[in-house]
Amino acid sequence: MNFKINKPQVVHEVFDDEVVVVNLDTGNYYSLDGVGALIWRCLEAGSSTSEIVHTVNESYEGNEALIERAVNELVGELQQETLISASDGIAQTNGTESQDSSDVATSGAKVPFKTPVLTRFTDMQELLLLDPVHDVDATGWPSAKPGIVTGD
Amino acid sequence: MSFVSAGVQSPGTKAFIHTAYEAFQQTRQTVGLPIERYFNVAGFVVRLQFAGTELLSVIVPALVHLEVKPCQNPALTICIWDSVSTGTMMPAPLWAPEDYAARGEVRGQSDARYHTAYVRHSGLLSLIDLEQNLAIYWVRDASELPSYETSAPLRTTLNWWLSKRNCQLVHAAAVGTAEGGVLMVGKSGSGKSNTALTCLLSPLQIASDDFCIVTADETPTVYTLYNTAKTHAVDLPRVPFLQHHVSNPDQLNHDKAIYFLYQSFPEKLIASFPLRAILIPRVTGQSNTFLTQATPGAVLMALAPTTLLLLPDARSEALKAMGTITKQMPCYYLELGTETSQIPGVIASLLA
Repeated sequence: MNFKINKPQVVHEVFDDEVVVVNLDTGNYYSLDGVGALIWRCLEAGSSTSEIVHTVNESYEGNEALIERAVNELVGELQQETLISASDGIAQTNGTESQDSSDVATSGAKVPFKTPVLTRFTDMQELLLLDPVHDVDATGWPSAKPGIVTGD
Repeated sequence: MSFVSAGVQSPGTKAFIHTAYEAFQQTRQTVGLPIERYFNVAGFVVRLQFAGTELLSVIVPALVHLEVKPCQNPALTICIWDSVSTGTMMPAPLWAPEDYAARGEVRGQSDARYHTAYVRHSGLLSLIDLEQNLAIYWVRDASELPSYETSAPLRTTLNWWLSKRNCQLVHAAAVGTAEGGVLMVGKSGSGKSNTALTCLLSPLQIASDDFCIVTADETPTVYTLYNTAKTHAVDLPRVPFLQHHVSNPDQLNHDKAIYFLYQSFPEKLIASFPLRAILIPRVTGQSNTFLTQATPGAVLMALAPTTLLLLPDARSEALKAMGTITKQMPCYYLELGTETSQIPGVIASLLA
């Protein structure tokens, strides 16, 4: 199965070994590093889970079954956080066919595998107005909601 | 002002901004007090046109250090008015209640040319036509505007416009000298304001306490935007030299203390400097202040979410701009000690 990043509400920036992800709809933001960053880059490239497992096995030294389970668990977690969703196999980066996942594999000698961790931060939800507008006044504009403060 | 142009993607937005602009012109005629002020924002002259005087005291004080003489061809014009003091109405919106989104965007009313945002709790509407370089800033009742609108006015509009000019508004403090300076990043309450204010008693100058502009190019430059500074009331003892400069002493039971540095420390403001490093302030509880290495990812985590969530319609391009800036810079944690007098020296040593 292939996946796509849920753009435009999910935005991300990739560094060498780190990824920062922000869900603009929920206000939650996330970090991934090491194996997790590699898996995210594979997802961005449109790789399937089997391709991702292969890429991780090429880059990290570890039990293959453990790696497969870790990849599936992280992908599931990313879906649960609505950061990615199943796709038809078309890569999102440029609208072309999915890239060879080896494109994002790390170079050099294998390093020991560490189970990837998606670190989630929820401390900025307060900056959003998540409750929907139901009522407008006679002028057609939403009624003011005193007590709710966004900003800094 | 003509609104005839090619490439219109949101006819509803075009129609509404046209209607809003007509409402502004009508209000100006009705009120009979046309006021124009001009400001140099990151090298661009921005004209603020006011209908009525009510919003002058809300918007101008934070920008007054950037004021310039009137010019014939400003790069951007922002039309500003409120309904309550002028006794005029804003036409009803063309969108539905369910179109108001969490960051203030109005769904379906933004594209490459137009942006629309409405802050529900204060009744503040921002519109921009990026082809015409024309923006609308309307609020139903100026008294409903929160204090952060006084300390950081027009930031939604300015970010929409500046982001098309390779400039990114960032939620960060900035201190340095003409030779170079640092950004200090982190969410509200992370210590960046207090850290910046400790520099008032040092040779370092301040470009920003909260929001500034950074160019996203090979040599990132920081530009000042607001001359305001803020502290929590409980932090006032840490900045005793500012105690007599609080602009809102009657609001400290429910709001931050706001200072206009242009009034109290004009010589400490700096218009711009080359960016040399990015710091994440971190309170340690130890006595000394020192620097430790941070990763670009950690810096972006401290900078990007808070910036993005405070700026309607800021999306992947804004994150990319912040990533571009971060990747080029040395990144450190500024491990804040209790001896706050050490802080400016640690920053100055980094810049030396």
